[in-house]
Amino acid sequence: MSDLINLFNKAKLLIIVFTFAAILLSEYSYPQSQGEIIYKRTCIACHTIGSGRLVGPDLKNVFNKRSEEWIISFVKSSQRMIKRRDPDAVVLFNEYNKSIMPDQNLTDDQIKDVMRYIKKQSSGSGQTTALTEDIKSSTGMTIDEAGENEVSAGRNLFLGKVRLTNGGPACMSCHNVTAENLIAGGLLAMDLTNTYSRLNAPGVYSIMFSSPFPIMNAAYNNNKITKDEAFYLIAFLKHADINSVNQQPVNYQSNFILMGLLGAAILFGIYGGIWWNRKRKPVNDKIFKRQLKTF
Amino acid sequence: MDVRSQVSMLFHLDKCIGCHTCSIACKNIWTDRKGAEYMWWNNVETKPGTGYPTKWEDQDIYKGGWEKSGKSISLIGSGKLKGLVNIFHNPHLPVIDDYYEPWTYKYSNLIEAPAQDDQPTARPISLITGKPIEIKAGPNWDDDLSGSPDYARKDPNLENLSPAEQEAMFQLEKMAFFYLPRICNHCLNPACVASCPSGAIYKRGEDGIVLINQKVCRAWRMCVTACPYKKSYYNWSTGKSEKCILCYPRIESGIAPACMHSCVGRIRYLGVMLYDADRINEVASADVNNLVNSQLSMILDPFDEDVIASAKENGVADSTIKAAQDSPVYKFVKEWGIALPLHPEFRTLPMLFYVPPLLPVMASLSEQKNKEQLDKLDPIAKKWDDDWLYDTSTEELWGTIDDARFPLQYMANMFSAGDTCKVKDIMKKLMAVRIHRRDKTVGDLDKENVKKTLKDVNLSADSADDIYYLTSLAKFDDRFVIPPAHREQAIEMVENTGDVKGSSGFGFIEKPARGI
Repeated sequence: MSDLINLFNKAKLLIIVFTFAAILLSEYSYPQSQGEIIYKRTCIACHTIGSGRLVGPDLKNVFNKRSEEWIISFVKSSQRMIKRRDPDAVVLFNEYNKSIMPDQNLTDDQIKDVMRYIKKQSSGSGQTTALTEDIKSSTGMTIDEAGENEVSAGRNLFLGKVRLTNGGPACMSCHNVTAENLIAGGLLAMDLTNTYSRLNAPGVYSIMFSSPFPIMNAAYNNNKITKDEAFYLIAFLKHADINSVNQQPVNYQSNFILMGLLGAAILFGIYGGIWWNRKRKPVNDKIFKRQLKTF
Repeated sequence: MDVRSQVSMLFHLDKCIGCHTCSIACKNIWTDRKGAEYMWWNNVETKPGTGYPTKWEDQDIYKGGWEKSGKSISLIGSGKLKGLVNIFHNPHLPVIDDYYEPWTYKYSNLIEAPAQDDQPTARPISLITGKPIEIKAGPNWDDDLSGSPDYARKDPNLENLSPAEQEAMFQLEKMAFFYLPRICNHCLNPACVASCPSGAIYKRGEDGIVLINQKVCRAWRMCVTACPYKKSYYNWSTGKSEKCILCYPRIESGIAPACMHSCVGRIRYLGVMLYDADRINEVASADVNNLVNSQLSMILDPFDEDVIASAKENGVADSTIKAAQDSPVYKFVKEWGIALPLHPEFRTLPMLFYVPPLLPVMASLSEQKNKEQLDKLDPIAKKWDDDWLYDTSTEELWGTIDDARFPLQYMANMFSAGDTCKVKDIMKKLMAVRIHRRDKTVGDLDKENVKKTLKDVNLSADSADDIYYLTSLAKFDDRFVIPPAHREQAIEMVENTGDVKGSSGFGFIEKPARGI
């Protein structure tokens, strides 16, 4: 009997030991650091470490240029710093075509993790970590070579006439592009008419794959845009950008109100026509109106 | 010939005293419920007056009933296409203000109010909103000509009356009115049934009672518009429409409907009439001048062998045929021809008939020198210096009817689609019966004259006596000849009564020792 109890106790001990070991090992054996994960999720779309500027600046040795507090504050809300007229922030903003760096919902510790990762990468061989492979279609065509067919494929994808392969929502749901043969798109996100000239192909490309914008990220995280689709879309955006000078800027908002009013007038006109002789008020209306009221 | 039976009603308007007992009897049994408070399946209106709901007779407002279109008829306000167009917005519905907002009083305040300087009052509370209201109108707000300029003078039946005639009707001291009790007419060509998009309304085969199936009703309220008598009401609480059911649970057990049973003036009669259902379309689309006659011709003689044979072929029970032969309604309507349907021009072929009132027509006012009489009075007596007489004399046989204080045209607008001859004939018959009875009981009239009056209206002395009997002396069983419902046969169609034979009786809580 006592043997049995002993055995049981040993087993219990073993279970506890293994559990702890498993927990500890899982921490240590994790292939990426927290900083790397966050960097790859949120920063990589616009920044490189040692491979030159993309949408935003190269972050190699960024910790030598700015203080830690400055970086944390900038990452949390770049716009707030610009509004506060922080000289460095304003210079940076103007230098990068006034592209707004989106506010990141990260804690101080997480930002420090990312910095630690950047430091590690900067001191290393300085190899590129951004998604800046050459942007080519599967047939090997480059953006500059893209013709009418590619632009039109991109337009169809943008409009949602052709579905994205992995089921992501059509760009138009949230974005607007002013171009010919295109109705007004959504107003939920950035107007993409001149995005190409602001971000260039690699910038747009990387945002499509790992968007720093939380909502776009959520929308496409599980429904990735394929490389070909990205190619067509960029071809379309480039085309739209180049031709945007010929486009009349349309203000749909005021038109919507006017059209709504007109539509309402027509509808009520029709209703009024159908029910022109309806019974409008109680038969005794006049009598009731004449009656004295006490309250 | 497609003979069917209809439980038909007759109201003798000369006897109605406007006490509203019928309305209350009906309300207590059927409509004293949430959402039904405003409904008066039975109501009594003062005529001239606008009735309930106000101006219900004016189909320019409510678009009820049928209208002639080509050789046939179509519904004025609903029907297939119109119904579809208006299905989500029925534009001619009466609103609650056309009826009235039902209310009660906060009686508890009278008992429970704390001690204070002023007397507690019971404020009127709306039965719809539950909040205090300002009472604007009631179901018989124009009772006894109250508010005449607003109500009675706007009576739709005053149409076609010259302004002078209208004026005469409302002259003080000449003014007359009568009461018009109304229930559902259980029409032969019911507009409500025709208008219902859900098919919830039906006319019962065995007795022609029109009912709304509460499980099928989808609250389109087309019946409310379609019924020209506005006797279909929408229950805002249950979301179903309701109407007079002619107390069918009572009729099935051989009891008269509550309104008829409780009638103080005993004005109401109920009996079976056999009619030819093949002719409904033809009769309903008859020319306006011929409407009443064709409707009456549709009602068949229950003693006719052919009629009886085809009635039996249609499954009408022998007991129902017997009831049709004894029917007081048949006697009034067909045998004596002194009853007419209300507003036949709505073309629904109503099966509630009215004996038009003679009293407001009969009397006339004549100049009278009263001085001699007044001088005889005691000096301290109150002296009325009127010099007119309320004259019901019969010296001029039909004179009083022709220049009656109540224009015949008004009655004709109500009961015969504007045909004064029809009403006048009936008035003469009623008058002849009176003259005949006066001769019999008082004997102060010239015998020759009396005979002439009866002959003028084609009445024998015997039938005049019959009219008198059924009008004035009729007992309960004379007034209500209700056909047995044969519920046993109805039950046998659904279940085998043999299955439950022997299963009724006592039960046992403890089994008897010897077994059951």
